[in-house]
Amino acid sequence: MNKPRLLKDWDETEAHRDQWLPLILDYQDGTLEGSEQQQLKQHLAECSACTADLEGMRQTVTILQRLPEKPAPRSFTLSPLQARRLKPSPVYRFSQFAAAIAAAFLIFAFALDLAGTFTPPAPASPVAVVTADPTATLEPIGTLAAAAGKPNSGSLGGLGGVQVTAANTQSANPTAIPAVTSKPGPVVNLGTSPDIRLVELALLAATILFSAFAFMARPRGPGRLKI
Amino acid sequence: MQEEPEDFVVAAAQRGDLAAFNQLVTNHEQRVYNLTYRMLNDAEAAADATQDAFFQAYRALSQYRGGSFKSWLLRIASNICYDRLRSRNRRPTTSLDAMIEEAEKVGGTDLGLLEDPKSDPLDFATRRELARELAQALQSLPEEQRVVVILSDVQGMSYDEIVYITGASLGTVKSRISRGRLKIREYLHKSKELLPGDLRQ
Repeated sequence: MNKPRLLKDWDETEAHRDQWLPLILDYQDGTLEGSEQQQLKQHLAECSACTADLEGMRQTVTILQRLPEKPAPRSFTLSPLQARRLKPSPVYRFSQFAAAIAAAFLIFAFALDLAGTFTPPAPASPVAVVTADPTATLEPIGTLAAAAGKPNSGSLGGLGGVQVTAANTQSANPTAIPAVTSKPGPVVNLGTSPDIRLVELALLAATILFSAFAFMARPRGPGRLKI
Repeated sequence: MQEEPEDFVVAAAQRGDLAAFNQLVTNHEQRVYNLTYRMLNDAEAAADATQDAFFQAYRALSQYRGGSFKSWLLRIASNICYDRLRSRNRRPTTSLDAMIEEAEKVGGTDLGLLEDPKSDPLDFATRRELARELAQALQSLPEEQRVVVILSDVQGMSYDEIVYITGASLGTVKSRISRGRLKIREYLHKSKELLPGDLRQ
């Protein structure tokens, strides 16, 4: 049995097996019926190789069936933490995504700002009136944008023209639209025309806010997860 | 709990009930672990692969669309085994000899042939040897033959289930089973004296 076989013999054996093994397997399973069963029985009577194969397969099955189950070394149940890390909460995923988008827009707006696209011409008289407005104190240059739209009027006086001004500025800067509409409500209410600095501020706020959300909703706890 | 129709448990797990999912894990971890263990022939790697299988199952739970949950799990597990074996082949950190040594070191107890070592010392030793041989015989098979032989002959699964798990056709599955059985037989033939009396010719 263990004698090295010639390649030619090997080929013949394999070809022979290709022909008969399917029948032998069905026969072993007890699903071979009718004429095929007769045919195989007849063949087995005269073919020692196939008889040996059938016997070999039977023995292998017997011995493999005796392999008892190996007990699992531990429980593989998921801890709540693992579950959360595998499927983070929708709030976490959304916040992460939104923070990333806001950050991307922020960088974009900042780049535009640096490039000077939205830098208004310096007005003759700085509109210092607006210092009463808390947001304006944070953003002195932002208030100058009011001057860009309506250089003649104090921005506090321009309440009537707010919408027009905002629309103008927004159409000039389409990227700012989502952030402007979502965030800087107070600024608009105060009648200051949004400009690129405000947009930047809003985006910064959005980035920080969503990052904070993501941080709060993150899957918590120690432990390493190999996935 | 075992009697509770599994579909209900699966549905609960799909709704996000972690306890229900863990119930499924408990129900099937033994079988999944045994498949990975027989495939990888390494207790630690098998535990790792099993854990990964349940991680993946948990993430992909919404994609499960009925049928046998057990088969679905085993399909995930067998794919993980394929990946592990492939990366093991790509970066053979352990030589074949080392693997065989490992199998020897692990020995009969770990190979799971022995329930009671005290019952019969001689039989114990023989069975231990046989378990080792059998593990190596399984390892000698090509992966696609190994997985079907394990599923069919060790775990006693039906052809239909194996077809689903492996994604191969019925003809291919049957061919791999018969070829695998013969290869194991030939492998064991070399250590004929190890075979239990009733199996010796």
